[in-house]
Amino acid sequence: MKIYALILIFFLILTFTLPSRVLAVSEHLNLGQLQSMGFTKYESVNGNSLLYPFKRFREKIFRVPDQELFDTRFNELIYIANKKKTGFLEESVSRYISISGILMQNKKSSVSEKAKQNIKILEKLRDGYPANSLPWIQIQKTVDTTRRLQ
Amino acid sequence: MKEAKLILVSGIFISILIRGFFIFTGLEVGDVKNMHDTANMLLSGLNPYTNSHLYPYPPLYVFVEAATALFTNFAGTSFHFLIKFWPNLADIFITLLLYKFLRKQKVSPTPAAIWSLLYILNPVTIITSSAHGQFDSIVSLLTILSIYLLTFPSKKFYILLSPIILGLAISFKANPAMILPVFLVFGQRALPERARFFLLTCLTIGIIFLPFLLLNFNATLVSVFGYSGVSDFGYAAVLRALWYQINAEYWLPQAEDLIGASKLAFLLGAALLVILSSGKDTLIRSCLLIYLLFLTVFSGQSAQYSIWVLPLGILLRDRWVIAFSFAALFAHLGFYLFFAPELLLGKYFTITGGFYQTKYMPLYFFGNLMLWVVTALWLLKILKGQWANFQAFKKPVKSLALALSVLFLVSLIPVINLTLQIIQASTK
Repeated sequence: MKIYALILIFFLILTFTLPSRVLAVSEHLNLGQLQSMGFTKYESVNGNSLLYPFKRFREKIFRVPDQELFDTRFNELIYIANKKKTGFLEESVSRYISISGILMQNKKSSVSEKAKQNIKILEKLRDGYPANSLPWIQIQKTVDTTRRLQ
Repeated sequence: MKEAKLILVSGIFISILIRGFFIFTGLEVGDVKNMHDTANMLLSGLNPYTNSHLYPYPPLYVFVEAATALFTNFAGTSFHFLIKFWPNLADIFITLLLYKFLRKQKVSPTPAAIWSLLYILNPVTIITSSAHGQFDSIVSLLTILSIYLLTFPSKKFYILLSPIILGLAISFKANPAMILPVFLVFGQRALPERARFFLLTCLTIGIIFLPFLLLNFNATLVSVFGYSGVSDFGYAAVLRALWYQINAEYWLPQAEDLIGASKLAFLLGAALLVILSSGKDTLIRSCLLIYLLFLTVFSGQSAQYSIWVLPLGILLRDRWVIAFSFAALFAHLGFYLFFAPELLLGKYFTITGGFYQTKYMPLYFFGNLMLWVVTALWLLKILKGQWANFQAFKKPVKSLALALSVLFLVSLIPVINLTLQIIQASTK
């Protein structure tokens, strides 16, 4: 009985000391602004997530079409660049450029319209970083690659 | 009997082959490099403790390192190759001692051999001794030997030898100091006998520390006692991995606060466990409980701490040791592949893609999460059995245990609070 009382007291104290501090989310543009430029949605799992390898594994197992992968990689890149998760930017950029390269090889003309839209969003995000800073250069690389898809 | 010995010898031989691969492909990096620098300082007539952060352990292994460095120069070979010989040799002796211990506990030869091999063929002990080059197995060997001498004192001399050996173990690494109180309250012995055990242990430690304390009192104490551990393993590793999601930062900013808070919680929990162990003939189980509590509650853990519980679990023939080994293997792989691939794979480390590769972070996270859950469940399972002792205690002891339980639970609040803050910030 005493044990149950102890556990109850413990959880009661815990309830009053639960953390209340929440750090503000830092981002360049809000989702509404992005959507006004044609951005559809963030991915639920992005390159910074611990669940990301499972997402990649699923993509490989179910052989997701290249065009769908292009959209997915773009959405992930926008999430990472917009939320200023610059530690993951290099990997996200590499993945986006990699799938863009596959589309170029396969000469998929259907993405040229989408590419135009992507450039607009990427340029806007790039300009959120100081000119010639590392994230700026990394995003510029994606702009250059996307131009070749037009 | 013959079959058991064949199993034992074959297992040790296979383990030597695997360990040989790691030793021959290893590099002089990480802790092994620090050991070489420490040895060079001592051989130059300097106190290694004056170089803070170089050597945070008690001084006995410094002499082993210096002797190895001397022999390295003499034989014209690599230091990292020879220094790893000692912990691996200790692993072989632990295996033989476990077999002898289990046979003394009336376990049949073949099961005793198989249980003993669970130690030497365990990937965690192989990685720790052969790849990383850490010497925790030497400490475990001396600790198990001390328990053996106290459990089977066939000669009166053994009773005197046990505390000296435990003192030597503490002079290598401080972790057996946390189980020293269990040795003192164990069994039905008179107070002078317990006091003699304590004094002999302290005397052994004191003699080994003395030259370093005389040279640089403050620097020695600060180096050894100022070290609180790093948050590489356990639940701190889980939090580090969660924090990594924010912006690929692999240092937890709240690590120091968490270590401070969890240290107090561990000390209170350990005091409670010592009381629950008092007067009982469950030395191995009580030592295991303290180590499991440490691995569950304390946040400043390194990879090599996982091997402390293995020989104790094997001596109890507790199947949880298998689950623990599996979980620890994944946690180790995640840790080394992400933070230190050169320690695990030596000259082949470039095949991993280099240091701090995000792709290994999920392995580090899930491995440590699994390890922490297994450790906590194992602790609760043993504790449940030990709690039955509680009913047999006299009222004052019961009250003390209850008071410590309350204090322990209260001391957990800041730990849980910090943990929740980190989780909240990492997953938003």
